[in-house]
Amino acid sequence: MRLTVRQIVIAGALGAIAILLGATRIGFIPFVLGIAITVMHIPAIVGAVLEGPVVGLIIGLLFGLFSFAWAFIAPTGPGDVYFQNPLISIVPRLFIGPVAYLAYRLVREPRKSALLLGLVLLLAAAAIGIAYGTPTLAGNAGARWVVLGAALALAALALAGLGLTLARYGEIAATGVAAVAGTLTNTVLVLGMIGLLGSLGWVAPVPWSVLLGVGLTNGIPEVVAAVLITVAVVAAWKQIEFGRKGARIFRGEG
Amino acid sequence: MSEFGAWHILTLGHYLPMGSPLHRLDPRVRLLSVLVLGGALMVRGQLAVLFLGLLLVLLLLALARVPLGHALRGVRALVPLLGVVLLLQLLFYPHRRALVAGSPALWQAGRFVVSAAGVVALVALCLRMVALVLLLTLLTSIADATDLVHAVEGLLRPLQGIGFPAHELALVFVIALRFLPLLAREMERLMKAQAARGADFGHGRGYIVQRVRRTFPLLVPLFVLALRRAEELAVAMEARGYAGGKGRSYLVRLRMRHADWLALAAAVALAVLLLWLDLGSLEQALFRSLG
Repeated sequence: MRLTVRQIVIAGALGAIAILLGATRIGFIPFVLGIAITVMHIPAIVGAVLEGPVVGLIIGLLFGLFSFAWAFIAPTGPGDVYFQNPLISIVPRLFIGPVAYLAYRLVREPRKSALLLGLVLLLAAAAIGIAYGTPTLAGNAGARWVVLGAALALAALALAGLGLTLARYGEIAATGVAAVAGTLTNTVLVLGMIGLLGSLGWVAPVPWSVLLGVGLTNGIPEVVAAVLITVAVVAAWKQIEFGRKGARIFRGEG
Repeated sequence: MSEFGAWHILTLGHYLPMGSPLHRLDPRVRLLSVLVLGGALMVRGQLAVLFLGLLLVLLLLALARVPLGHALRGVRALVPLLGVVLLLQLLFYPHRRALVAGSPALWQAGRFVVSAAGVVALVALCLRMVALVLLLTLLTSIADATDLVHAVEGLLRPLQGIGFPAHELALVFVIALRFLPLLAREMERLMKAQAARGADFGHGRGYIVQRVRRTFPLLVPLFVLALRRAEELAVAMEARGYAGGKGRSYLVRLRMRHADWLALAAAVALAVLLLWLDLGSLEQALFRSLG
């Protein structure tokens, strides 16, 4: 895993944006009923789309470390207690970039997409397996719904990817799908981790039905926001890049 | 315009070349000591322990010859945020559960009740925030960016044996740190420019798409600016022959001296002390005097 200079620097710059959005609370867009949706995970998606999964992972790590530390320095609500656990605030965020990249490649490169499609379907199958195979979930209908919802979302994503690939959509569609995948990864893994650790008794337990509710009320607007912003940013950046094509020296590094 | 000032928190002080004993320590010791002490403060919730922690941080600041005014600037920037946090915590603290647990009630109006335990927890929270911010200010005062990159890299180096990109990751951290005040300044400029054109960020009504679109004039230029700066920096680094961590030699070789080991041992001992100290009886006495 060799990182180029460009990848290192872009990971640092986008990581700084994630932290900036969180610290200034600009990364939270007020939505109905006092719910604020977050866009802090978007730098990880943008980094994954532009520079690959490792850059996305590093930005996710910075985002996670910040959200972990911030839960101690400036807790703003009862929910922040959960983010004082690194398994909830850091680990799920590591997956945002890699999953977004996977989705991006799925749509972007038709020839390799069969393999990636297989991977995503495998993931969905694994999720269904967990939903019905895990003993702690066996007697809990709500929990099973959450896991099944995640599995179905992934399967739908795979189908959407396949459809878009066949229709030969371009960069924009791939970026949009990456934003959906990255955002769902964040929402589902963070809430899933809270539920899992709660059922294990490591943190104060939260009913799975509440988590499902939060997932729906926050997850859906967050997906919408992430798609709009990620596509806008990537489109703006790629245009600038296209415009500067002739003057770029380090093509090989890009 | 006051809403544009929140990110002065980000510019938590800057390096002060005071040449104090703390400045002369190995950068790894400086970073690690601040991390263990910060970790201990994060975990503890007892008022008296956090107060001792705050005193300890102030002592360290004095030892580093950091002027108090410089140190308090970061805290002053925190005050508006502190207010919001306090209000939210006061509203969401499980006061009734505290009352059941034997804490006296301080104030009651209809269904709303404020418990002594809640107030003590709030004060403790404030002490912890202030102590952590001061600790962070201490770190930025005694270690500049070069020190920090050396420290992070030195601490991660043992992992390099198993293929972990320690040097690269250290560089990412430092670049993020360097970009923060820069991007914060640019963001302030962008917000003022857009506000001058009548923009209103996320306050108005509308469906989710409209609300998100309202952030475009701020977020899109911010991302593009960060990416452009990053690309310029990458080109500049390559032009100067930067070639990553492999086979790299260093101008400064870090070597632990006796004083460094001593300082590290002292920091770990203090952190352990903060972790083990149980001053809960003081809190109980406080409750009794309040009730």
